[in-house]
Amino acid sequence: MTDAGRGRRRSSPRKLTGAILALALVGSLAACARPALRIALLTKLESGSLVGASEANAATLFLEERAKAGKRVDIEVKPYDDGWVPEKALAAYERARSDGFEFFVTSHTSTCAIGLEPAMRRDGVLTMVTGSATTALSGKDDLILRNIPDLAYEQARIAEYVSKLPGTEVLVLRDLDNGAYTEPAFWSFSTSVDGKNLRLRDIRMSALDLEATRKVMLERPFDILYVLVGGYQASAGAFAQLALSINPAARIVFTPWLKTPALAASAGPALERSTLPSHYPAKGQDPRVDAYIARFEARFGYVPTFISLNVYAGLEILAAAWDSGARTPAEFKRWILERGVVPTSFGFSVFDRFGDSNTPLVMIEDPRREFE
Amino acid sequence: MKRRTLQGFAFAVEATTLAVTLVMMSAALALASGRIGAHYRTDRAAEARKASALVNVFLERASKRFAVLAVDPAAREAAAYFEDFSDLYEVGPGLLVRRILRSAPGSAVFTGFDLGSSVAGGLLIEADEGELVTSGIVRGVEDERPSVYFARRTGEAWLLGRLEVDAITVELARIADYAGSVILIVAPDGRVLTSTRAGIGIDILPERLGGATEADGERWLVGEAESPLLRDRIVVFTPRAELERLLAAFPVLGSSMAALFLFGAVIRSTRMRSRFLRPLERLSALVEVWDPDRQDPAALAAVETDFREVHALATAFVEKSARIRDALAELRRMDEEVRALNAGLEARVSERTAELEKANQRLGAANLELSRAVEELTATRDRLVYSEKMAALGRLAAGTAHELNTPLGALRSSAEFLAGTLPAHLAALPALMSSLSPDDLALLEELLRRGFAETPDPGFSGRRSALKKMRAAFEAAGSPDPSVLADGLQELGVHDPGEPLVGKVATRPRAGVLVETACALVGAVRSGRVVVQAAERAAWTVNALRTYSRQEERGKSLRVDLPSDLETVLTLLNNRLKRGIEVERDYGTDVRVYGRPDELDQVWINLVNNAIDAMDGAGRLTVRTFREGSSAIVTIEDTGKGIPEEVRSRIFEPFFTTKTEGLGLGLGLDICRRIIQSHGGTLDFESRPGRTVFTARLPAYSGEGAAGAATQGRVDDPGELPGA
Repeated sequence: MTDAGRGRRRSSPRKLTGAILALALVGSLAACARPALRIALLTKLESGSLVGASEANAATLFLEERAKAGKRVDIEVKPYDDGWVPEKALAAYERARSDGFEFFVTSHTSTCAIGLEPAMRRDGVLTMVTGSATTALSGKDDLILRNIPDLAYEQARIAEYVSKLPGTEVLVLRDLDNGAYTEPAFWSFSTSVDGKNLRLRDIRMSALDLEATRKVMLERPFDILYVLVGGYQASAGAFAQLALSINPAARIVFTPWLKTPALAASAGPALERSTLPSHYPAKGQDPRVDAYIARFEARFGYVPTFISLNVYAGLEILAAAWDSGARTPAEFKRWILERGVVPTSFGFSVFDRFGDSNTPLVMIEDPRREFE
Repeated sequence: MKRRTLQGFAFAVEATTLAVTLVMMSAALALASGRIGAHYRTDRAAEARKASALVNVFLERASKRFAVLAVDPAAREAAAYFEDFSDLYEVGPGLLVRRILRSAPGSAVFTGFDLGSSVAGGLLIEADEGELVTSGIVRGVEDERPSVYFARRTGEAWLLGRLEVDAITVELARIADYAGSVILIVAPDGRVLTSTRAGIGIDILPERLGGATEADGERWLVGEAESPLLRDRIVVFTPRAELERLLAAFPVLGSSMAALFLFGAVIRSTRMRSRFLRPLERLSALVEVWDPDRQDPAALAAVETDFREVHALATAFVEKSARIRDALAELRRMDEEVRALNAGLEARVSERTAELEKANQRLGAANLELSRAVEELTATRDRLVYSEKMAALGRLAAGTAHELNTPLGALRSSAEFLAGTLPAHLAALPALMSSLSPDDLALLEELLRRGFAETPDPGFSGRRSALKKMRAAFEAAGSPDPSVLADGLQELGVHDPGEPLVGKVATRPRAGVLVETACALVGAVRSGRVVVQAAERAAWTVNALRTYSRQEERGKSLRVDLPSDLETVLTLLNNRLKRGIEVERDYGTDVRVYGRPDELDQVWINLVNNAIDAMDGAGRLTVRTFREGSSAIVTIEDTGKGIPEEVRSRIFEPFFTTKTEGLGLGLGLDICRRIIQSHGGTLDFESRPGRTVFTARLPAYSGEGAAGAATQGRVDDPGELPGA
């Protein structure tokens, strides 16, 4: 072997070591650059619809404001369209899983949440539920957490309110399309209401029949119309108008989930006689909420739904756990439940030992200002 | 030279062909895919414009039909058939729905519905009498679906129509070029109003997307167009995957073609090796171990091949091998023969060599003898030339001697006269002079003047006649010695008897003494003149001879004035010429050459002598010199008998002569010609009876350049002359 050859032999290990170090450095940099907390947002992505878009944009706003606050840009939120339909939600979930997500924030309905629960339990993913109040998720020691009260708590608060309203005849219009929510909700409501005669009429909001509804309203006089509907805000507003046209003295009570501008558009003058339960204080009552809505409107050009606030708060809770060193779904759950009370931009989210939240509801009796 | 193997070359050719083909194919595919990609991107904008046009068609058609409904109450009765609108209402005061003309299933609007809080309500407020207003895309109060409202005031009421954008969206989805495309209608502020597919993850679009963007985990190509009726943007999102799917065919196609080419190359190489290279290798191996002495070449033909060329190569090798084997055998036989012949040849060569040596010795001896003979011949020739020269010189000397003899004779006679006669007269002259009367002295003086004067000679008969008459006159006058007086007067140059001097002499008594004295004195003077003339003549001849001899100029090249040279020759030969030959001179001016004058004189002497000989002492010799171009010409013409026809061709041959034996060796003209040639000239002649002309043509003198012409040789060394 020549000296030159020996020289080459000697230099080869150095080159190899250098290459390995370079690769390691590149790998480390790549690992550092890659978002560590990856959250899938399951929501309804429908063009032109504020529902869904509000939630997706809440995530965008959260990430932007987190970056502005000088925190690490190590969280990724990717929206998946579940259409608020159980089958589509399952497909979206599977797609997210195949993309490697194990942290979820959902804004869909209870029906979708119940449909996804077995898969989520099976996969051991951590889910922050922001739009499903079904009791089917309540009281379970699992990785499904919720930063809104469940329907039992919700309906109990509404029942308490209704019980105090004048009049005894209560007409309940229940949407069977969202039975996962409305059926246990009615049960909770009916068991909690006091001193009222309840008349239940089931309808399908997806196949609205106003004439049939009118007949129902005309069958017997009623003092209170409880619109037990989770979506279809326009139709819910129409119920209010219809009820008011038949009985101008009636009180219309909605669920918290109808708090959208669409309700105001269709309810028209009936809003004066309406009560809108809300997870957040009325407009002007809480500067933190007002500030968020103002920031959101400035950023995206429209007023978000209240679920947008839930999503934002849910992301804040997960980020806090992440920033505190939690890495696995179990660590997240442990971190959240150990504290029980987690501060958010809108106050606090309170969790019980099963990860359920019981935040007091606010009854807004003239909700027209909410949508001005 | 390092040579490659055929197999390696074939492999290199295959590899190169394959590489070039693959490169060209890749380039072609890349070009095609690039152009397709560019075309595909350009098509997105066209697709957006197409979608915009479709939206406009929908809206314009709806506008026209809405106008019909607005102005024609009867048409409203058939509103159910106006399918462009999902909902049609008559709205009364207070913005309450007064009459539902057409309603979509599931609509939340009912008769009496208060539209005041809805977008439709706001539109109704804007609508003036007879003017159609549209809303743009909004969420319908009926069912929250994307809708466009049409409103027109008709008196105290309004007509309100709703067009569900989904109806347009369905059509838009239908016209999309690709199934995966998504067509969006986007508000001016960037909000997505409707979409042919939900959930691509974009709710707010930037003002311009710049042809491509990413959303929902996908890459999209974007085409945009304005929709003037909606004041919105139509945006077409086409998954880049569509393009990539299209372009994906190219790598597959390229890979397939590359694999095909590679497979073809492998097959070709394999077949080339098995069918072509292997037989060649086999043939090569057989040839390498083939022993032409012991093996049959036919064994080589056992190489199996499909190729005619390889088979032909093997066959040719077999044939050539057979021929080589035969040729080797023939070569061996011939080699033996050559060896045998060589052995005999060596002996014969030795024998011949000995013979040649002997012959050489003989030749040497003969050569020696020949050399001696040549030397003798040369000496003989030299002697002959010398003899010729001596003969010519003898003749010249004889002539010259004679020429000198004449003036010498004159000198002698004059001297004798002066010595014999003059002393007596001179001795008596004083006494005579003292005894003479003045008249006698005057007559003596007149007689002397007359004797000294030049008088024309009347010729012999004139003198004789004059002598008789004068003698008669003196006799008549009674002179004592008439004959002496007549002879004396005639001696003094008086030839006319009638001259007064004759009368004076006749009358004077001492006329006899006076005439005798005058004659003596005139004779003495005349003798002196003869002496002078003879001396001059002798000096002239001697000078010519000296000029001819030119001992100090012999062999030297000088400028030669040909007339002067010729005149010298004529002087030298005057002795022969003056005996009846008239010499005519015709000398041109500036006829000069550059040469050796002694040799040229020899030429002229020869030619003039020959002319004199040809004329037998009587005739005319004409000597001319003149210039003709760059040549100086000398012609010597005689009126002799001419050169006989039969000898003209031989007169320049050495030793040829027509003269009587002893008068010449026949070398004259030969030498003359050589001399002229040695001066760069020519010597020719023409002859006929009565006229023979020899013409010497020499390069005329024109400065130093002419010097070379006369230095080529010398007449006394003819062996060195050109042509000798």
